[in-house]
Order: sequence, then structure tokens, then C-alpha cells
Amino acid sequence: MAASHNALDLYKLDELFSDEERIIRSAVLDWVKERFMPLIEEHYEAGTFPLELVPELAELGVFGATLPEQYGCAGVSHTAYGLINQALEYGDSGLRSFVSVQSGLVMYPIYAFGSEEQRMKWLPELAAGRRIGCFGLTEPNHGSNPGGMETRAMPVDGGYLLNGAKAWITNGCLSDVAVVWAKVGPDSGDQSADSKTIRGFLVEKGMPGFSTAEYKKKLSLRASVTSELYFKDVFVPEANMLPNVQGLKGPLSCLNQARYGIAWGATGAGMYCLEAALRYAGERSQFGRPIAGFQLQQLKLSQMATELLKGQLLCWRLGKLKEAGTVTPAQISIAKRDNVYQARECARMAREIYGAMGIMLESHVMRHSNNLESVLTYEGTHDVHHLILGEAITGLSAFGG
Amino acid sequence: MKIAVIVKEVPDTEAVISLKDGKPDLSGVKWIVNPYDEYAVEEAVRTAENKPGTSTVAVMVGNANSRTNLIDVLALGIDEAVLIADPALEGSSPLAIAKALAAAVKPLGADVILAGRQGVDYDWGITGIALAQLLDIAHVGIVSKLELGEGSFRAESEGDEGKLVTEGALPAVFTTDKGINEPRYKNLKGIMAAKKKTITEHSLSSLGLSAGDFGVAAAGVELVGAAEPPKRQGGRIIEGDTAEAKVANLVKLLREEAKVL
Ligand SMILES: Cc1cc2nc3c(=O)[nH]c(=O)nc-3n(C[C@H](O)[C@H](O)[C@H](O)COP(=O)(O)OP(=O)(O)OC[C@H]3O[C@@H](n4cnc5c(N)ncnc54)[C@H](O)[C@@H]3O)c2cc1C
Repeated sequence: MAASHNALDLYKLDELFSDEERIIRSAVLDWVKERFMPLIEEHYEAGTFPLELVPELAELGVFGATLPEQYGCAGVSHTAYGLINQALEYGDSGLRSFVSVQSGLVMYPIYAFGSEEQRMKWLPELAAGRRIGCFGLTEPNHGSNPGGMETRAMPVDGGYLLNGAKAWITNGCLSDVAVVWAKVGPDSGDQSADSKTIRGFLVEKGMPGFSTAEYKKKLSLRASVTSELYFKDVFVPEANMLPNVQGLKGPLSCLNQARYGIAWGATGAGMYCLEAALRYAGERSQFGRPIAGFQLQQLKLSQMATELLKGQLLCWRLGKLKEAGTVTPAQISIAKRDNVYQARECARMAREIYGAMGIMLESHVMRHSNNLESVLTYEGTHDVHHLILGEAITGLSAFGG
Repeated sequence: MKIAVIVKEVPDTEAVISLKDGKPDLSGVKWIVNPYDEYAVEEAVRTAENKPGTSTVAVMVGNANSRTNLIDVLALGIDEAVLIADPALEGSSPLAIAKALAAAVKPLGADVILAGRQGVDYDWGITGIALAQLLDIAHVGIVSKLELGEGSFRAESEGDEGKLVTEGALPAVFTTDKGINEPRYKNLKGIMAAKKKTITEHSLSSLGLSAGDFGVAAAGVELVGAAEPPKRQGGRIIEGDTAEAKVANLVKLLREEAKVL
């Protein structure tokens, strides 16, 4: 089946995509609607991720979809990867997070910074969904400022001894492999000098001293597992260090992959909310007429439709820049920040349009709005992205205050 | 073994089709592969997976915009496609469509021809049968199970009153019903592979056919008008304190108002 959201494609954006990209989007969207949607309410309530669907996601080919075929991946364009994220987040931000982490934060660094042995060992397994990965950057005391991380890898015979903790790690407890970022060597007391020693380590499930704990009672992204990771004298062999990157640019370049996917993903959540709100507003009558006919409701629907249109155009352009290899972190940052913010506004407006029904899980819109609270915070908070753009256009960094 | 699969495009089953000047207005409608044809495609792909050396080709009568749906079919695992597109085909009868298909299918030398049992647009259910007739080979309809041997077949068709088992020699045309298989989801690797597969395009003249035998004028039937089904009247809830009282009221209404008893 080809193009899908035709009725709401007000600017004929579909024409911007190739046949193949449109088919990829509809393949994933069909899967999300038929296979994922029937399960989401149950998992959201239980606070679990539908792991039973991982083999189907792998069969679809969404893990590491942009990476080359020789590693078991599909080798799609960045634009197609964006559309995949859009279709996944149409279902749930937790579903998109699962795939983003596996693809952009685990497979990408192994591909970009790993040795050929590391690639061959992990990428086909991760692509096939037989192994799950996570990305450990954030720490209990260092969120927006990852350069201040305290996790340390001390060189020992044949490898490193890892000590520290990582916080808020998506898929942490589910993972067979964690891409963990740590400073190498003792604390010199100079944070900026130390951050140049940051290296990535592939920490495997079952390594002595490595443990995880799950955050329970989240009110957002409930269908995604978030965990703390603890490292107590974990011996990581030399062969498990990513050889080809050093310093903060390692984790930051992963974040650029994932943020790009999030910018697209957010439009998917927004799309779901707009479609749902339009449907509901057309069906629900008050004062003898459909609420869609009231100006106040039309204002909301019109704002939602407009912002979604703009968000998709940002993404489309970003995809082209990425394919041309010229995209900058600040460009990605703009789309991540604004698309997520607008999607959250969309979801909130949809919730309002639904009235009381909007607070129900079965209406899905408040689930989206709750999820987007996390999406607004992770991968660089909304504020931090303003600082990134601020620095890019003024030349002055405001990060230190 | 060579398998040809006949596919057509129909308006999306989720599309709301309105009337314009008393005819269905199909402008702006999204076109999809006919759902019954998806079973035919799946059957062909599965057969090819299970019988090494089997090749598959999809044949479609469509238009210049049909490539997307053919890529869809190729993404599911069909090896190559033939698209018959010609403005003169617009408005053709199912028999004329079958003639165009026969001209394209004959040179393929297929042992097995699979098609959906009917299109979900006008529900004629004729094309596959007519194609068999024009090729002068056997046809088995509403197939819910198909076993292929060397030059022979065994097919099961489900009917309201039982199951029909047909055995015969290939080549033959089989029109597929729901239940024959569970069509797979497309996947990204299949879609990427589809890009490299061939779609051969034909016009009526390249198939040696003459345009005068096609289109509305030659159809023999004409769509003179269409009407929306009557709007459903609101239902009525039968009153009564107990189940017995409700039944009594229902019987009374059936007798006195509906006058069906
Ligand atoms: C559900 C979920 C999943 C996550 N998954 C992962 C994961 O898989 N891997 C991973 O490494 N991390 C993950 N994170 C962590 C996430 O990236 C961090 O939460 C985020 O970077 C913000 O850090 P923080 O929560 O410590 O907030 P803080 O950095 O403490 O920020 C608190 C507030 O201060 C503001 N602030 C901070 N610095 C400045 C400044 N310089 N100027 C102005 N305002 C500022 C922020 O905008 C925010 O409003 C996840 C988080 C969540 C919620």
C-alpha cells in the first residue's frame, strides 16, 4: 500500500519522497497500526515494552536501517529512516525510543567507531533483534553536562576496570550490550582536560560487577524500560573498547543520529493526535452540532495542522542535508527542539478537544502528550537546544551560565 | 516452474468514495493492490521459496501511476513485473482486460497463473476466469489450498456447502480466496531489493492489440449511474422490565408494525 496520510497532506509533501521512501513509510505504518496498536494500552498500563514484537521489528528491518547490507541491515536513505521513525512514533514514543536507541545510539557507534571484529560480532545480531543494546551517557549528577561525567575506566592488564553509574538509560535492564562512555585514567581535577579522555566501552550483560535497576512508576514513556546501570570494578577487555573515537564528540555524534530520528518521530506523534482529534471533533456533537464546527476547536485543529506541516518540512530539508553530508549539529538541534515542543502542544490540544474522553488511555492522545514530556527532556532538553542554536548564531556559549 | 501473478489496483478499502454527477468520484482516492490479489502474490512468493528454481512475475493492467503498487508487489518478493498501460484501456470491460492480460501472459510460458478471486472495486470476479478461457487452459476458482506437483495440481475450494477438491494438469489459472495463506508484511530489505528489479512496460500496440477493442466504447456494458445506499434508520430499543416482557413487546412490534409475522 502506498501513501497514507493523504487527507492531511496539505502541501503534498508526499511528492518530496521517492516511491521507495513512501513504501517504506507505509510498510512500517501498516505494521504499527495492525500489530503494535492492539498491544500498547496493556503495555503502557503495565509499564512494559512489548518485547514479543522485537522479532517482527527485526523482520521489518528497522534496526540500524541506514547501515550497509553486509551487516544485515537494509541500507535505506536517511529520509527513509526519518519516515520510519515517524511511523513508529505514530504508535508510541516508547516504540520509537526502543528503535532509536538500538539504531542510532548502539549500532551507529559500533559501526562508526568500532573495529571490524566488533562490527561483525554485534551488528548482525542487533539488526536481527537477537541482541538488545543501550547507551549509557547520562549520570545521576550529570545530565545536560555529560562532560562532567564521573564514570572512570582505569587501565589494567589486558583492559580496563570500570567504576561509576549511569542514570535514565533506555533499555538498560533489557540489554545484552551497553555502550558506556567513561573517562580513562585518574581524576586530574581539570574537567575539560579529562573530558578529552572519554572513550566508549561495550559492556556486556553478565560481566562481573555490572548490574542494573529499573525506574518504576514513570508517568511518561511507560511502554519503555528506563534503568540505572552500576559498574563496580567491572573488567572490560581491551577488545571491548571502541577504538576509533575519543572525547565528547563520540557520544555527541551518536546523539546527532538519534536527535535526527526524534525530530521526525515527533511529527508522527503529532500526526496521530491531529488525525484522532479531527475524527473525534467531527463525531462529537454539542449544542446540536459537531464540535469541529466551533471556531475555538478549529483554531486548535488549524494550529496543529500548520505546525505539523512546518515540522515535516524541517525534517525533509534536514534529511537532504544529512544525505549531502553537510548537516550541522545546530541544524539537527533546531528540528529536535521545535518538533518535539510542537508535537507536545498538538497532543495537549488534542487532549482538550477530546474533553473528558481525552484523559482516557483508550483515546491515546494523553499517552502521546505524557510521552512527549520525556522526549522534550532526553537527547538534550528543550532549553539546552536553545543554547546550542544561541551559540551557533551569536558565537557565544551560554552553557556555563 | 514459472508463476505469473495477475494484480490490479483498486481504491483503498478505507477510502470514503463519494458520488459526482451520479458516478463514483475516484479523484484523490488512494490506490492499493487488490486485497484478494495479495493472497495470490503471497502464494507465488511462498511457492518460489519452497521450490528452488521457481521464478515469479507480476502482470498488471494499470496506468502511468501504477509503478508504485508494482514496486510494492516486487517488495513482497516477486521477481519482476509487467505493466500494461495505455490510455485506450480506460473503462474497459473485464473481458477486454483479460484479452490484454492474455497477450502479455502467453509469451511468459507460465506453468501457474494466480489471480485474486475478484477485485474489491466492482466485484465482477470475471478476469481470471476469462483469462483461462482465452489461454485455453483450466481454471479453478475460490482456491483456499493449492498443492503443486510436477506438471500437476491439487486445489481445494471452500463453498457454502462443503469443500471442492480439483486435480488436473498444469498450466492452469487459480483464483485465490482469503484463507489460502496469511500475506506477509513488506520489509525494508524487500523494498530496497525491489528497486533493482525490472518492470517491463507494454502498450496495447506493443502487445499486438488494437485500441478499438478496448475502452468504454467496446465494453458492451456502460455504467449509467450509481447511488448511495439508503441511510440507515436509527435503531429502536425494545422496552420492558424483564426479558419476557421485552420478548413479548418485540413479538408485538414484529406483528403489528413490521408486519413480518
Ligand atoms: C525516559 C528517559 C529516557 C532516557 N534515556 C537515556 C538514555 O538511553 N541514555 C542516556 O544517556 N540518557 C538518557 N536519558 C537522560 C536524558 O538525556 C537526560 O535526562 C537529559 O540530558 C537531561 O538531564 P537531567 O535530567 O539530568 O536534567 P538537568 O541537566 O539536571 O537539567 C534540569 C533542568 O535544568 C535545565 N538546564 C540544565 N543546564 C542548563 C543550562 N546550562 N542553562 C539553562 N538551563 C539548563 C534543563 O533544561 C532542565 O530544565 C533519558 C531520560 C529520560 C527521561
